[in-house]
Amino acid sequence: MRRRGMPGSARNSQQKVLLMGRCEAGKTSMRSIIFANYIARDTRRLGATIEVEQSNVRFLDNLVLNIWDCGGQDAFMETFFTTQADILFSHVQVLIFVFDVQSSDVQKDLEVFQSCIETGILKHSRDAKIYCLIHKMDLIPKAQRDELFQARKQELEHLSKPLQISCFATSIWDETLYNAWSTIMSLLIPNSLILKRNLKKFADHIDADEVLLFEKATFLVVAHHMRKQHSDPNRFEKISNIIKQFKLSCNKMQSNFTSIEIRNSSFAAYIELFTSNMYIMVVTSDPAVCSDAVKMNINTAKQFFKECV
Amino acid sequence: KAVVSTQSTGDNGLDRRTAEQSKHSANVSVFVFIHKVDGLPDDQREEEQKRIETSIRDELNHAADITLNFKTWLTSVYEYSIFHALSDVNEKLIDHLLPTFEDLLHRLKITCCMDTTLLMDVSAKCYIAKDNDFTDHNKYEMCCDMLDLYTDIANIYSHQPYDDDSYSCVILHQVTAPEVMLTKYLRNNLILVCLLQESCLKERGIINQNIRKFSKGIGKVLQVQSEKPCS
Repeated sequence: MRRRGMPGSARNSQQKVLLMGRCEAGKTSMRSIIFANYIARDTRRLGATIEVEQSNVRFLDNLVLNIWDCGGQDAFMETFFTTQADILFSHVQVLIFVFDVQSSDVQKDLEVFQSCIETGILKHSRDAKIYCLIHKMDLIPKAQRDELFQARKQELEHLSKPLQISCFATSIWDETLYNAWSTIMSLLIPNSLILKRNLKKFADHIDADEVLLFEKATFLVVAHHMRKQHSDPNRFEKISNIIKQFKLSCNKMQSNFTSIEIRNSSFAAYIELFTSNMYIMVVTSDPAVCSDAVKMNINTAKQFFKECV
Repeated sequence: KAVVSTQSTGDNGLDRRTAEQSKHSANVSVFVFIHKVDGLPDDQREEEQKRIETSIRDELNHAADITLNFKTWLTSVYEYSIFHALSDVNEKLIDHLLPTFEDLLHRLKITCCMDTTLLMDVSAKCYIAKDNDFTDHNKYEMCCDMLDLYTDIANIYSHQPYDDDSYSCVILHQVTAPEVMLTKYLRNNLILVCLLQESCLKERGIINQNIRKFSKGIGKVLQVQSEKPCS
């Protein structure tokens, strides 16, 4: 039984996220990579989803993501839109719709999306945030990607009027997938402004170059504060992937890490379990900052942050 | 000193040239990597390995003037097997230094109450030497992953990932007691990897001191080695 909670109350909100798209748009492998710990190389083993797959994934303390992996085959999609629209589309906080950029029937993709918006979202969850992922972008030559993405984005914005949508170009083979999901997820955190403010204070106090907070299961960056410029704007997603791969490797040995310290003469990075569902990463390049002091400060901050989220 | 011959699964044994070359040097070890083995299901791999070994032995028997000892490894770049195989080759390459390295590793292990000590190459991720009791290959694979973690993060936050101060420490919680993986870069692409119980970290000062001594020891061995006339 699903709770029919209204959004708003920070402690008890049960937010529902719908992940939808046509057959083989890439939803299942995308979901598996972000939430069920498959690395990109393994997703060939996944078969076509043949029925509605409802995963209740816990994300942070008070967020339960209800991911409807709707199979995508057209027969199912049509059933949903006629007989099941009210069940599927009520209490939706976020709709994520996946498009295969190389789809053989773009027109049909757009029709299904429009149907989703008109019979589903507009009728049952008008306030839902809508994100469109133009997926499998790795299959398009680099020079053509931006133009293609902009063209699709404009079409989708037009079809979803009067609702606002955001679009992302994604691929499971680079950091764009994380970027999109990270952005989406960070918008779902209650108290995110307070969290970010406290993170800044913490970073300032300990003289860190930057501080990141990751959600424990997916290693999506949930918040960050940067005090020193860095040349690589995509580093958060790279770090997420790197740590997650290491986490998978530990899991194979039935273990998990609680603390990582990495340093050389230019920098030091500390990754620690921070709350029951978040990891923190602190990066310093000041050699005067003592390693034990950083660890002590992280420990002290843990209790304080626990009450924030 | 070592010849590595790579065969794909389905090939038919050693090529004659390799065998001829090896014949001329008595001290050469021959390794045959049966490569791209990730394409074979697990239950067929041993059979394929035996088939190739038999095929090579038959060929050698026919060429009566060549006697050769060889060792086969099933390898794939998608698994850790290639690192195990290269580690085996490496041990042969430094067999004159190996007892010294192993002795140093063992002493470090005993004095610091560590579970395992390994000397690894940072770029190839194979082990050059291990302490006398090392048997757990799963642990070695985790060490490879840890080196990847270190290198990838260090590449983001610094220009040169490995320098004299390169160090990492991972604390793992598992079914048994919490375990710690320490790495310390030494020199010449060599890195020391230690596995120990978290409770031993209390003696951090002694551990660091002993690692410094160990590093000096390795340095002296390599210096003596480089001063020897080439054979």
